[in-house]
Amino acid sequence: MDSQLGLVASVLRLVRARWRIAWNTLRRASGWRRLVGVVVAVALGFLVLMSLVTSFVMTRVLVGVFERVEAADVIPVAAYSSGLMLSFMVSFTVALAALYLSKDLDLLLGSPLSRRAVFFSKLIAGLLPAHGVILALTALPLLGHGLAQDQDWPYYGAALLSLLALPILPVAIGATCVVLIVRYVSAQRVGEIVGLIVVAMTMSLALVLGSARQLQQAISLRDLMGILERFRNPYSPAEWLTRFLVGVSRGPAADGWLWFGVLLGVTACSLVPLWWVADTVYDEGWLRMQAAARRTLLRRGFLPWQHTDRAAELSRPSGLLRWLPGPMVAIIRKDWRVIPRDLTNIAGVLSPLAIGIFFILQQLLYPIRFGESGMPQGFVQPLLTMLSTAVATGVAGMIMSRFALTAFSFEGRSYWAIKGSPISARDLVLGKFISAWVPMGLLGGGLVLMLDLARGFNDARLSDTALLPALASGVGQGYILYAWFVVAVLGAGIIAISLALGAARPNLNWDSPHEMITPDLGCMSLVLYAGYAGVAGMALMLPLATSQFRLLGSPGLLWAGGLTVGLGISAVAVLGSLWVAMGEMASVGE
Amino acid sequence: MTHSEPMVRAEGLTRLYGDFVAVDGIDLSIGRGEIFGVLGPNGAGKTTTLRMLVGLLRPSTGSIVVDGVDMVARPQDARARIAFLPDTPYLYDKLTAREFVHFVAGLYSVPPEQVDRRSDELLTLFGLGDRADDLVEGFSHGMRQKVVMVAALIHAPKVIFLDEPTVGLDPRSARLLRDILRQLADRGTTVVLSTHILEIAERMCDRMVIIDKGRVVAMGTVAELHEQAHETSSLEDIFLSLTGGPADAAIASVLS
Repeated sequence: MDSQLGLVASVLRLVRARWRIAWNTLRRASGWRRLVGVVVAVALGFLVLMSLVTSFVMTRVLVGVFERVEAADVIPVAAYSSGLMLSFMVSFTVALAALYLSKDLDLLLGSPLSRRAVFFSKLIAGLLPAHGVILALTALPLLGHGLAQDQDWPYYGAALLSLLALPILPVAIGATCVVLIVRYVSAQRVGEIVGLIVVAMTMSLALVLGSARQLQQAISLRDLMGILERFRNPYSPAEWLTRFLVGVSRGPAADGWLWFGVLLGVTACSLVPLWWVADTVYDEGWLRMQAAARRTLLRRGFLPWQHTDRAAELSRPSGLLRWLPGPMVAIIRKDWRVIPRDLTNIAGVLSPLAIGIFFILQQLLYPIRFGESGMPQGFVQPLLTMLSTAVATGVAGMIMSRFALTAFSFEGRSYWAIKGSPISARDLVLGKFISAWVPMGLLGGGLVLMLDLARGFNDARLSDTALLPALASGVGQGYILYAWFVVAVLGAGIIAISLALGAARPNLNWDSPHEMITPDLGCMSLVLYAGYAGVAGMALMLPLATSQFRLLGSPGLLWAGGLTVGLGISAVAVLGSLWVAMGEMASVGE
Repeated sequence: MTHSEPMVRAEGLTRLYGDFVAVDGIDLSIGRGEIFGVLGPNGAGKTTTLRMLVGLLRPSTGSIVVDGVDMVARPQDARARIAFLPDTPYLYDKLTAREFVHFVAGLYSVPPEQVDRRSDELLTLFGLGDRADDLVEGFSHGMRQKVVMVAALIHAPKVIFLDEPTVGLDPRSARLLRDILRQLADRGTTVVLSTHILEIAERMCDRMVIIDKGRVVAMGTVAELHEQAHETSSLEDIFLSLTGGPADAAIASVLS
């Protein structure tokens, strides 16, 4: 078949089939999902417009301030660099999913189509949507830059050409890397590790940006110019594309075309290994994945979930869980084993955890010191406790709400084992609640303690006093306990709301973990968390704030009022949400 | 074997998916210790019927009673009496075989001493003794089937429902499964299985039902089915005559 159709025709036919599937899915989407799609499109449109306006203004300002037109060349360099970086990151993960993890591979690779046709069609169909967005985001700054300089058609022609050429190099490198790696490591494992790497990169970036004090202060235009100039590296394809754009629009054009030729040459070189792996190594990786019955033993370690020799714990309540019903304990212990053993889940935890680490580091290195402004110590401690509580609730809530939101979807196609068993809706929902809430309390409490310890440590360093007394004064045990209590109460509400949402919109038929949460569910959960935690958190924090400042009358009355309102709202949120979740149990999995 | 007392009784069982009628008013009565086969062509409604009988799907109308317990009114009590083996054995990849068995035992509140004894015995019986502490993610389809079978037997159910139980099993394991099911039936456990393999149904089942387009087209022993279909030849011929197979002429015209 392939010999008759030719490679290009085969690729086009497969790509067309993929687009038909995507179109049918969109056509049959529910009204609510379409609405969310429209909202996301509007938000993206707004971002795009902002980037257009920003680049236009920046170009005018840079040329005006530095009084030379070349000063604004940093705009296309920055745009191309960002586009290339995003394109490379996306290429690797999308190519991995498209080439190895899609469901129709058995069908396609078992057909008479050549491996190369399947390879390129999967690659193109997988990467086109993501690169469409990336190219749009790259194109708009170029357009703004061109408009600001009153450029003519050679500029826009060169910009279009450069955008078409831009993604080929990162796609070729990313896809080749994927095929070569999957030859030795299973695609699922690579996916887990990539998730970790992406999160680690995000974390590092957050730490670097967060720790850079100069960015927190007023930044001058010259500082900004200095940062943007760092993108100008003669070995970077972004610089080659910029020289092409500048050469064609401002001259000399021959220089511009020379740099475009350099890019095309390097791109062509990168396509040679891609062409080769598509025909030879791709097959090996796929065949490797088909090898069944490989032996997978869990690495033994000191962490509780690494002990496979304690299987009996799943069938008998013991320790602190001994007072709970057996089926509930089975759910809790199963979740506490399955979730941490999957690296994909750990990747999801790292990102919010990075924020927590960032705050701890900031407390250690650059603590917020209300005392410097002459505020009495008695006022400082409650304010710092409120800050710690907010950070701990936010970080622990982000981590554990994700698990609670996917508590039922996470069961996936294995849910039949629970659905067909005699576990009651109450035991199932409460089991899921406890399995997320206990880690939330421990994590939140740990973060509160770490934040206060970091502050105490810093106080000792700055005031030159002994460490232990400084730590004790910095920590303030009473405040920590209250902060922990607030984190636990707010956490209970957040977890319960997440469970209810997850029970109402479960997706048990996912193939990739990101399919567990739909965008509309994610949006809805954020709104509800923010609303609940904002109101209940303020009520619970009111006594702390007002008792010191004595703004609103008697502290005793305020403590009673704040606690009553905060606990009342939380009780309604927890009980109401759990009741909703229990009600949904009958239809989950049908 | 006593077939007098119905262990499973379904009346007017119907399941709708929008306008589509997947199962249309099925009546079944299955006795204690009976091996009962559910046969039918692809899409006939076998799996939907089984999933309703085990409580995975709520019937649109109709009633199901298992061991005297109403599945709709008291689903937990009814489910405690049964075990189910789905056609595709989806398991938790990050649990070991032994952990999965203990997890299921926990869901059924099986006494710990019974779990310890039976899990080891059953894992060894199904040839999983040396792989019991491996993560399930490395298991083949057949090995997963065996894990599910062990988990199904851990709480000594009164009724076992199996959806295409021999798919993916090697001949030795398929034979072992057949022998186990026969022994369980002899000890009073009711076995309800759906299968495409008519030879298995003929050899194993005491009675069977043939479903087509969501309705019962025939029910009884092999001899009774012969009578109902007015056929004296094989079960395959009875099945095809009741469910309607493509005529020779149609096949020839498509293949020509």
